[in-house]
Amino acid sequence: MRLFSRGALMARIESINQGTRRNAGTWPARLSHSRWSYYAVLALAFAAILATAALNYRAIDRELTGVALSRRAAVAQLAAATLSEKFGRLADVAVSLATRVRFRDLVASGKWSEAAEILRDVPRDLPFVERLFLADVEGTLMADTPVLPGVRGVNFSSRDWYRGVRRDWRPYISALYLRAAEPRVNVFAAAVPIKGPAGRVVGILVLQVRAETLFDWVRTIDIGPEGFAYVVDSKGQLAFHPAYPQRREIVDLSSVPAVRKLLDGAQGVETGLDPVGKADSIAGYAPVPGFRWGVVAAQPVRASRGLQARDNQLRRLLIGYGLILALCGSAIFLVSRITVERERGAALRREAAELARLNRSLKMLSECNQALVRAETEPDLLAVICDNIVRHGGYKLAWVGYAVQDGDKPIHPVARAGFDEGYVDQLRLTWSDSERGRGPTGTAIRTGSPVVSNDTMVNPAFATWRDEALKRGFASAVALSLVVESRAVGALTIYAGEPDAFHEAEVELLVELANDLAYGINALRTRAAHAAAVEALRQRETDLKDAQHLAGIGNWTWDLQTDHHAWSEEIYRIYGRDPSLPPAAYPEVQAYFTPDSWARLTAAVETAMAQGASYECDAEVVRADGTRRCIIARGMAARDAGGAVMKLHGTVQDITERKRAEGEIRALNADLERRVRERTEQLEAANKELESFSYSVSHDLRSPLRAIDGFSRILTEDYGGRLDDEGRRLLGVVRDGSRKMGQLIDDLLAFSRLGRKPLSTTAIDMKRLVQEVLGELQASGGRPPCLVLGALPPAHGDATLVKQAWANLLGNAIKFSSKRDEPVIEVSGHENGAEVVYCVKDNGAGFDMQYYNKLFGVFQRLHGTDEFEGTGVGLAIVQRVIGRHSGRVWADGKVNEGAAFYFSLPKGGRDERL
Amino acid sequence: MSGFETVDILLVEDNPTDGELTLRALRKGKLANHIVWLRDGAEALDFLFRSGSYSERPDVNPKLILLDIKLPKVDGIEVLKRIKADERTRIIPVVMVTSSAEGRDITDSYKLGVNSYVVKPVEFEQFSETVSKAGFYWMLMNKTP
Repeated sequence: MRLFSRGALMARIESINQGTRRNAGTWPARLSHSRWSYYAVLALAFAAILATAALNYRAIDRELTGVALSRRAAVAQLAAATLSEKFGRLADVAVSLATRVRFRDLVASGKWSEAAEILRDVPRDLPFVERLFLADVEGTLMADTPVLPGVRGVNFSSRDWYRGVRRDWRPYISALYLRAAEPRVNVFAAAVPIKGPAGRVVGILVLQVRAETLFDWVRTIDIGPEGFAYVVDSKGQLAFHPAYPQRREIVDLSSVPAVRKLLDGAQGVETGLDPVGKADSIAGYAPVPGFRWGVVAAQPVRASRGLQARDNQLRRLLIGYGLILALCGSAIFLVSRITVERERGAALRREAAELARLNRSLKMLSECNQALVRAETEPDLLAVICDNIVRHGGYKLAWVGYAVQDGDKPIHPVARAGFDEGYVDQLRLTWSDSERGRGPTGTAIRTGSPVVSNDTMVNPAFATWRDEALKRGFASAVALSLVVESRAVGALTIYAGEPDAFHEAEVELLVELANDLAYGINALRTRAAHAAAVEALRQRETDLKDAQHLAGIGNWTWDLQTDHHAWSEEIYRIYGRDPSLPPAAYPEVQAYFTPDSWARLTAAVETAMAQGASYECDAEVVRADGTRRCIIARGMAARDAGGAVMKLHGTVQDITERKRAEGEIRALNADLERRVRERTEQLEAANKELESFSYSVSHDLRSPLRAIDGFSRILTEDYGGRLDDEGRRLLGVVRDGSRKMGQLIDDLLAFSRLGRKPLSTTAIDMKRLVQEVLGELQASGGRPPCLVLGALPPAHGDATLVKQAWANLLGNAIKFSSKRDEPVIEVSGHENGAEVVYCVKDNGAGFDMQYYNKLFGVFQRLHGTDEFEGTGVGLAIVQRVIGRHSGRVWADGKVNEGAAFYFSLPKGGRDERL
Repeated sequence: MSGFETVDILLVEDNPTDGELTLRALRKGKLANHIVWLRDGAEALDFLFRSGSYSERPDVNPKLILLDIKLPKVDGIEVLKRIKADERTRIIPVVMVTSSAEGRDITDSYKLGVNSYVVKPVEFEQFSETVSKAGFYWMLMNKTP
């Protein structure tokens, strides 16, 4: 018997151990999946933090940038307001100068020099006024102070200041222009109309201011480190720039974006390349209210304190977020480290549990192995295996069901162990593909593969039995088919109390267990079949021995290869040889036969061998004690493929008793035959005698009777006249006697003929036959009786003889009732089983039942001839006729009350020889 | 020998009483002319085939033969056979007259070509009536050709 592959099991345990050691150093591969999702979560968290940081950074950036820029704009506005105020004052100064009454009058009266003379002190009083001059309404310079030679009388109507003031005769701050005389520096002018007494414009007062004056005006404005403010005039020309205070040329900045916007009257902040400083800068710009000039307050980006603050702020922010991220990372690392450790611990614990379970399984398998070796019967084996599974495997229930091979394919539970509580019996499983056949057990038998149901709660295959299973705490189950000689004969089903109890390794072991159980079942069945076969063989040997003894037949073999002889017990008995001796070999065996028997036997054997046939030969055996036995020896040769004789075998049948019995039977038969022959001869002789007797009677007795009657008649005829009455009466008596004698002879002949004539059987229409007979009887005269004819069913018989019987019976009835006043004869018949019974009943003289035994005798009469005529042969004939038909005759009667005669005939045809 | 020139009826009967009764019956039936009564079968054959003591008899066949079955020397059946076997005598009507109705005799006779068969009753009236009827019938109905 094969044992469980303990090696495979040990290998499994070893592999688990190795796995445990390997897991101590590396991450369990099982974790990889959860790790990736874990990393994804981490990445999402980081992304969220980064997004928050970016948004925050951008918001702060914007906010601080805005702050920095608005500062620039405020500087620009402040400068613009300062300029506006300066310009206003300049204009106010000019206006106040122009409106001096004397000055106005002088101008009005064309005394331009005197007027200029009045203003001579002004540049000293107002140092920013570099010089001032007067022009007429046509723009022709009329007077100036300090006086510049060569300019009086020059028309400056093309100058901006003229066009500006001339537009609506209001004070006007002009655009920059180069001073006409040396030093040719950038100047601008404030021009105001000079109005005469009547309000008429009589001239123009122009105050010329050096552009660098503007530097003084805006110097006071705090424009920040490296910041600078520059002024552009209404044409977009650079009026003043701190870097170029003594500018002697006109720089057009109208293409600079900030300047362009200024010229459009807008204010704001602009970042970009500073056209003057040639560096990135922030430029706030603001128009000078009322004067179409503008101020740009620029600062290099790098120098912007606001931006620096912003940058600092942002840097701090970045550092903060960096710290947060670092913190998060550490936390995550720690958490994942802890998780991994925990998982590894759990894995180790799981494997330890599995190891424990496998050890348990090993124990279970070991116990089962021993059961397989020890079990004597199949039920024992199944019971012990189930018990071991529950006891050592730690399962709740184990049972074995056999698949029954009939129409419904039920599964018949044959063994169980554990917490059953009627569970197995209520399953009512089948292994057909039906509702009750789709559970694990039925499926396992049907498919021949193990079926695992690791969660009874949700497995749909368990739905039918879930309530009962849960009631008993069966959380998982496995069904293992038991395959014997390539056919699933049943299943081993195991239930566990915990879900997921049957994982791969466990199922593998249990499958092996189931296979070994199937192997054990097969082995026990084979062993049982073998034992039965051995017993049957032994029984057959006993039977054969008994049969040989009863039949007196023994058998022998002679192996020519080994010269080995074998005799059955019966041969020893037939030959009278001591059974303790070995069989008699070839030369020795000759001693057991008479010489001619031996010659016959050897000839038969040789002929049979030569022809390849079997032989049969009578022989006489002479035993050692001298007694003789008759035998029939039969035998044949067994040949190999090449036709060479390998073995002779045959039988010896003791026919001594049979021969003796046959001899007796032969003698008896001969005696019997002789006696039969003698009897037949005697019978034939008797028949012949009877025949000749009959012949004699009919010829030789009738002749004298005829003579008596005939010559009595002749005597009467020829000599009647000579006789008296008494003589004639006596002659009558003679004749009557001879006639009766003739009748007796006729009847006797008829009666004797009955025994010899063969029957000619046909179906008889009895009604017609009876009517025929009655017709003939009535024709012969006599008083007609009252006839009552009942049913007369047909029968089989010799019509002539049966008619004779009817004639006799009816004749009797008529005769014996003839003396009645009202004779009545009833004729009837009825079927009684296979025969038909007929009855002739009359109300005539009847008879005394006391003499019934004489009724059917020949020449027996119960009435005197003087009373009723008759020879006493009629009823004897009836009985003979019916007897020859295998029928019966009987009668019933009472004196003077009538008689009833019955006879039966077979319904069907009779053998004609009867 | 003479007296055999015309023979109407040949009666072969060994029993003298039966023979006498037969003759009486034939006489009563007016058939008694030219009756020859012989006592055994051999004599009957000699008579018919004109041999032995009848070799001188004229060649005239009887018109009817009444033949008893049980006869001394040669029995009636044998006589019948010889009559029916010979061209000369075959046409002579033969009526077998016998005491018994034993079936075998009757069958044998008919097989041999007997013309009629009469059982002699015990009662004389019946006997005489039967014999005379048979004789009358064959004498009158079967004219000798």
